[in-house]
Amino acid sequence: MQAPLHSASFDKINVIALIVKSVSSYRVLIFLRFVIAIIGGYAFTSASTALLCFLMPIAKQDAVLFSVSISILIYAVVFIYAFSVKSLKTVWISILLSTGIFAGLLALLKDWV
Amino acid sequence: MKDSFFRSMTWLHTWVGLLVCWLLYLIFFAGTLSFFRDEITLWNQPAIHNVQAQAQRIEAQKQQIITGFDYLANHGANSPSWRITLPEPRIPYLVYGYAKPKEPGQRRSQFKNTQLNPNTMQELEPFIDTKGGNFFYRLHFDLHYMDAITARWVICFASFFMLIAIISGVVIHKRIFKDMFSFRRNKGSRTWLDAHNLSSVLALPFHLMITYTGMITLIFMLFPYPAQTAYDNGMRGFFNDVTPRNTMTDKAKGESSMVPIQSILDQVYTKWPHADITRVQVNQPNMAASTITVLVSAGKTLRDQAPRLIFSGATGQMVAKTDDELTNSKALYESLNSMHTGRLATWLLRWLYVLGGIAGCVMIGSGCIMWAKRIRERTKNNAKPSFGLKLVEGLNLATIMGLPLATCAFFTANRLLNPTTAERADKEILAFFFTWLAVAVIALFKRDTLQWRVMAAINTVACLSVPVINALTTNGNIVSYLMHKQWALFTFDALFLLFSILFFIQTEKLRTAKNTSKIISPSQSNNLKRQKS
Repeated sequence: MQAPLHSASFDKINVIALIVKSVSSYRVLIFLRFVIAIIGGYAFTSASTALLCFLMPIAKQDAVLFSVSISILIYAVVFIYAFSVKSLKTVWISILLSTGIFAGLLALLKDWV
Repeated sequence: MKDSFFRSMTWLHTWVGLLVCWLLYLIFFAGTLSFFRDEITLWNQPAIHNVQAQAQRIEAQKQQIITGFDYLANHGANSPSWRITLPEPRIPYLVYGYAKPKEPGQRRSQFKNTQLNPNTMQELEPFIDTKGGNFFYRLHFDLHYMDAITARWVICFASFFMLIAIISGVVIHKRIFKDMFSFRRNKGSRTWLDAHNLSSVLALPFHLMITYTGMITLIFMLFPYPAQTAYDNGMRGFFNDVTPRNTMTDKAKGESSMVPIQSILDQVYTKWPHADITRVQVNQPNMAASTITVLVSAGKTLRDQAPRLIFSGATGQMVAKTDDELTNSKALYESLNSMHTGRLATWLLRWLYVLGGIAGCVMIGSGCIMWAKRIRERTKNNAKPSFGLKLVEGLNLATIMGLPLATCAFFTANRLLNPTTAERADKEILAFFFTWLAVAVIALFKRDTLQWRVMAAINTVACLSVPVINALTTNGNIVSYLMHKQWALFTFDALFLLFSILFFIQTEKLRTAKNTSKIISPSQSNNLKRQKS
């Protein structure tokens, strides 16, 4: 009875090890960095410009035009940041967290929740 | 991500650049040609070749508009809209047009246009069906044979990678000033690196500006979120807010006779005594809710939205107008847009734009060639080239040599197709893409130096044939253009001759280059690199 159980848990460990190994493989790491740079950067830019536009104490149309005019600049800075920091974990957490905070603030201010 | 910021950026520059370089080459190529959009349209349309520029263009506008209103009242009394397009410095003819009733399934109604020679007010010969410069203009952000919105997302993606490549390129370029003066000839990939650096650094402000502002022109598709947060009804609310609209008489019901156009023009000239009117549009003519919109040229100001006044057609009262003074945000946005489109450019600035665009093509082209050369040099002599290397080499040849040839095919087709052919404009475009596809298929099988040489030779002949075929099929030729001071047409033909010569030089150079590339073996190129560092 014990032998199959043992081999099953052994297999399980093997699978986990395989996943960990493949996740830390070079290609996957590069892929994850591009994901956070492109999609995370886009989300960060969207949330931050929307919040900025909402908070600016000027006419609505001016706030919109100003926010969109600098949006590409923000996106580019986030993108470069995602590739300049060594730890991928730091990149993911910092971008997702700040995007979440911006989006949350906006939701509170706009009474979406 | 690598050990140092510098190394991360080097990695990023290489891969981000390589991933989109061929698409970027297409965007830069077509975009550069778009700066000559009106000139290309002129060349493609032989009916307007001999329309002389008016000596008193602005002074004649008032009478042209008055005559136009008479014409449209007679011909398009029941039409939903009228349009008078006045001659501009680069567009010599006058157009009176009225919309035909919309047919089911059409998004916009078709216009019945009458083109006139403004000097004689005689109707011009019928125009041939051609997209002219608009083809290249659309190609550089809408691509072709695909949904325009999807294409714009793809273009924005590539442009953003371009911006990242430029920023990372500046970071990794340590000797930015010194390298401006170094060009090492016949040193394999080193030479391509120098060409890449030179074309990038010389026109760096242009590259940055055109890439950033290019995305700004599509920004409301890319980032609609600020407008959606600020306005309850989203993008529509925002656009209604920034576009001057008639909100005073638009609800009026029934028919109404129109005030004489003279009284409206008097108001325009009172406001802008030296107005250079480009267009007059009438919506719902002869109705109580009709509007007459007068658009004037923004001239050399950094404004992309043409200044305009909107009048009620029934009362002659001004109902809306663009801002006279722009707010800071609007000025920022408008200047970014107008820098990209370059509508403000007179001929000297226009040529600088074109030279910047050519530098961009050289930068992108040399970048992708350099990658292939480096990998080639590193590959052992007997080792088989990888799939990636073959792909890059194939795409390089197909893009860099295929696009000029396809362009020649487009212009040749314009002259050789029968004027009455059905869907003629589409067939010109088909000639463009078919030629490009043919080059791509050739590049699939062979992409060595010999193939580059063959392509250069074909391009030499193709570029030469454009002015020759033009001379054979129309009344004018490059000599007569020079004699009659038709500078746009002369420059067009002369540029093709110039590029023919350049391709001929390339053909000759590649005869000798074949030997030098063999001389530099991998070990030697490694030695070279050691000497440099």
